[in-house]
Amino acid sequence: MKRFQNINIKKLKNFNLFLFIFFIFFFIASCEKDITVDLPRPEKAIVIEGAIENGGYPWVIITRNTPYFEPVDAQTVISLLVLNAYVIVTDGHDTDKLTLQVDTNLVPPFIYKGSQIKGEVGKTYYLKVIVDAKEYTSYTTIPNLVPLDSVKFKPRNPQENDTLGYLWIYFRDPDSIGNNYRIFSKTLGKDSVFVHPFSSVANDMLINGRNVEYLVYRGRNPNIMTDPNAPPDPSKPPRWAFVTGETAVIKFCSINKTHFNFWKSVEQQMSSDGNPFASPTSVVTNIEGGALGIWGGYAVFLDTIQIIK
Amino acid sequence: MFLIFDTLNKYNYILVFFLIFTFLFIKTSAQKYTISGYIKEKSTGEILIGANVLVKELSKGATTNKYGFFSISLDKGNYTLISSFIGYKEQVQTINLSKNISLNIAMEEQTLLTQEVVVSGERSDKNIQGAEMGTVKLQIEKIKSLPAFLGEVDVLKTIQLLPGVQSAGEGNSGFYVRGGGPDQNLILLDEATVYNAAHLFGFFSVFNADIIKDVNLIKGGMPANFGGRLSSVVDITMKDGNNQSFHTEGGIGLISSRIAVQGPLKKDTAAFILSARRTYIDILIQPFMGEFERTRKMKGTGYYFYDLNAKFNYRFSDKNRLYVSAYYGRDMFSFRSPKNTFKVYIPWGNATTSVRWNHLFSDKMFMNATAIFSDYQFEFEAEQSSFAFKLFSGIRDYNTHIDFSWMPTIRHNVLFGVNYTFHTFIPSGVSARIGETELNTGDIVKLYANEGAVYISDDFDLSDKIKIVGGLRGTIFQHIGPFNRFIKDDFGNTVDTIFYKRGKNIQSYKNIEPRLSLRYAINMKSSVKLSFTQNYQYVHLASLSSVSLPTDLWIPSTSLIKPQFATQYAIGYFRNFYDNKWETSVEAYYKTMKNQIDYKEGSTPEDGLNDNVDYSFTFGKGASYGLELFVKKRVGATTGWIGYTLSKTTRLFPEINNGLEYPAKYDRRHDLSIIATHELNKKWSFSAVFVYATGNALTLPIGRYLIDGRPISQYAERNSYRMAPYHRLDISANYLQKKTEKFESSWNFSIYNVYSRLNPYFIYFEDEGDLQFGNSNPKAKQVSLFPILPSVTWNFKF
Repeated sequence: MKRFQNINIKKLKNFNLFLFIFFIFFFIASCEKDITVDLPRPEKAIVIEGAIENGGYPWVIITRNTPYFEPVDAQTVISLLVLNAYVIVTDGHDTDKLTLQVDTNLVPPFIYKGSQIKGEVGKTYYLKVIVDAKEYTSYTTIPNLVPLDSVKFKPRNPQENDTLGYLWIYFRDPDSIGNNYRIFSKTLGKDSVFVHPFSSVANDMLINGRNVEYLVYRGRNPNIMTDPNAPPDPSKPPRWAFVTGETAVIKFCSINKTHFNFWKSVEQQMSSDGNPFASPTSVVTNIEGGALGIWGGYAVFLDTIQIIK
Repeated sequence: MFLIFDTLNKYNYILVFFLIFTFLFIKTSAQKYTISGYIKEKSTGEILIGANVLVKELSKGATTNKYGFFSISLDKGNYTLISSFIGYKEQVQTINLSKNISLNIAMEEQTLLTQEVVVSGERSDKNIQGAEMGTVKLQIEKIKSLPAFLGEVDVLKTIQLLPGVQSAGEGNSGFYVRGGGPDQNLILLDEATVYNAAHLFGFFSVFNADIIKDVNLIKGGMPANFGGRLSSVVDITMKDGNNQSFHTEGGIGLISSRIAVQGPLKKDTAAFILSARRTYIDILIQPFMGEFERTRKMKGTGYYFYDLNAKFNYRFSDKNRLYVSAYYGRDMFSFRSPKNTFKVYIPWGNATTSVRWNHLFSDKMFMNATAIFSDYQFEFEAEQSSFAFKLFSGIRDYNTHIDFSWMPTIRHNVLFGVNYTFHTFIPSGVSARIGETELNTGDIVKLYANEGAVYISDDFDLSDKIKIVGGLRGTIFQHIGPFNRFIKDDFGNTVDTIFYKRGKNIQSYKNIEPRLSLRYAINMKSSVKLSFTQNYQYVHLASLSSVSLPTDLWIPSTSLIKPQFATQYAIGYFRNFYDNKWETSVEAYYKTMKNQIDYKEGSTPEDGLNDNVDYSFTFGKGASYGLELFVKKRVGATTGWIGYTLSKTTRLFPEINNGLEYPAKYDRRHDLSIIATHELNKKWSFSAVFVYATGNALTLPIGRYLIDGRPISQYAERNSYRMAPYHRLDISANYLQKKTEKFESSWNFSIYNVYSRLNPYFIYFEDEGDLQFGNSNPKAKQVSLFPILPSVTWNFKF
């Protein structure tokens, strides 16, 4: 079985580490100070994040952008929410008007949800959002589903009787090129929502038509506030690894090219942001009308694994 | 070679026409006789490059070429010949010319440093009388007396102090010439291309000043014998080696030590020179590391670099001479985390070898045949638990050229020649394994190319007022197999692969590059010069980051990557004052550059794996214009110069910055350098360097928004923000402790950044809160690299 080349490609991120180490080395003599930078304000924009899965109702979260250096506190964060939007999704035949709901799993806890149309594999879905008399549109497809063959747990150090390890998924990439994937996981009893590893998207450029083995790290739920300075808490799950005794659900999604490009640009920005030697990556969008964000379809395949030694 | 002549067919006509045209212009009469020979330094036998031979009666003369040769053809008669070279005693000879004369001149060093050089008949108005523009020759002794960063004398950093040349950044030896990128500089060490002239982040260049004889910078009006780059040529010549006696010289500095040995293998006939330099930051840093790091847990972490140079020359006769020179340098970085869970090993560096044969066909026709090997490699090896991987990239050239100089009369100096290079590029190769399993990372992709050139150029005096350097360069470039071309559909997915056989021509480019410079002498003290040049460049440096890193990739022109092309117009006014003691000039230039490359937004180095590297790029054009002022005091106890550049450099890429024009990352509105050296007495001399430059252009985020519960940055227009201006003062004192025939000892005390200016190196942002929880307050932080840094170096010679 061919291993998924993405494994080592991911390790290429060590490049950044290499730069980092170099710099530690030369920063013995360096100095750092706070400065004020005088930047223009960005154009005000609506941010739309929405998705539809096979078997699920569409959902959309709508927010606003904010100037980079404007502090955001508990008061001002409310001004970033858009709670009066008119949101509809159509499949060309039926129309679903999404309504604003409260979801306490999210921060901020507001989401527009549908109740008429459930996603189907192979279909195209059109989104229309109206905010303050301005219209924003987009469309996406739910591509054909690619199933997983199996999921396995492998301890980090098999010799040392390690209880920590990673999940490995196995699947066969279809012969035709152009398959794109996004991966999530959810540990039952621990995660309230599906979370994704730091690098969650891949395409089949290197693996077309092959049997693939792919490593999945534990993801972090962004809706839970974490204090980076807090001491390690053994009762909480580790940051990257899975633990024996857990039950994990893998959500393996096929997505289309535009949807992939969006998340790829997000992840590239995450890894290059803060690196002064990388050229900045702009996040793309597939929303028409001047809004930022994404409207994407997922063909979901779920698989559950009970992690035992 | 023959292949090139074949394919150059249609250009041949133009060249032949030009050749005939040139020959017609050269009126040779039978009564002319030739004075020719070599000029060398008496005590060492080193040949002198660019020494002047003036025929007093005609106020005309010649300059020695790269190999110290000169030739002057004159009518029968009596002449006074004055040979001069800065820092050397002038020599005057009277010659009764009634037959061809072979004349080898040995020059003696000027010992009285503090006294003003007597400028009786010395032809020091070369800057006025020559037709070349934007050409600067640096004296290595002057470079050595300037303040040195951490005690390391660096020729490339001195070049940055000239107008029109900009530093790539704090402590960086990389440079930008007239708005051109760092890959547009042709850096030659004894005619071999050095692809990456920088050690660690560019803080030091690979050139050990001890072994350098001559540095010549051409930033505009590039003559036809140079090509392959758009912006500049830095031509560095290594010392030949003393063919009179054995000497050892060296130095002990704060971060490195150097040693060079030279001497005759056979007196007056054969000589060698060997030099080595190594840094010991890795050793020096040990005491400052904690007990934990010093013990075996962190052992194996360190950084050092070294440079080795060797040169050998053999003089068979006055007609034949052989030079063999070599350079090998490596940077070595290794890191081991505690407990050995993570190991990194990164070596990189250059290797060059050049073999040259000088042959004199006649006293008017000089030939140099050269074979060159040039190689740059970068490797990155990492190991983390059971996972190991290795990445490498590089470029290797086999290069040969034959160059002729023909000096039929005193009015003409004709250069012509051919050049062929075989390039091998490795944009990136990866091998990896987990445990014992080798991973399939695709084949190592190598790209092959042929590059050829033929050129002719003539430097001739049309009249007493007008001098012209005209030249044509015909170039050809072929990207050849073996090569796999992946064919893409509209979505960028590979749908097919075309395989090209070994040696198969995949894409070729043929071009003619005209070069023209013209001088109009207003009088003996002032002149106006014009130049027009067109250059093609077939190799490209793809850089993902804003500083030049060893990870930058060299790639050839392919069917997707078109050759870079530049057109440059320049005009200058040159004026000398006070018996040529003061030189001044004003030059203005306008340059356009086509087919510039950059990575597409969001590209990463791994995109090239299992794919054609050229799919990662996007193409655009650039323009630069500027005004350069230069004032130089060349003789006296106090010498130095002031260079100021006012310039603007822009880029226009359809796929970057929404297709809007933006400032290049090295766009610098103002750039000022002031350099002064004062010789107090025989023992003490002092130098100071002040630089000021407009801050670097930067792309900063202006907005934020939430996606997936995480903040996303919205960037402003490309390079729309400017960091604070850069300025810095360095001073140095040189103390000659002892100087006898047998032993010389001297000290250099340097202070870098005297007033400890915190120049911005980069800016980053920090936010301890989270946007969606409403506790976010991002702060901008500016990092500066070097505060005040004193250093001391001890140099010796025996």
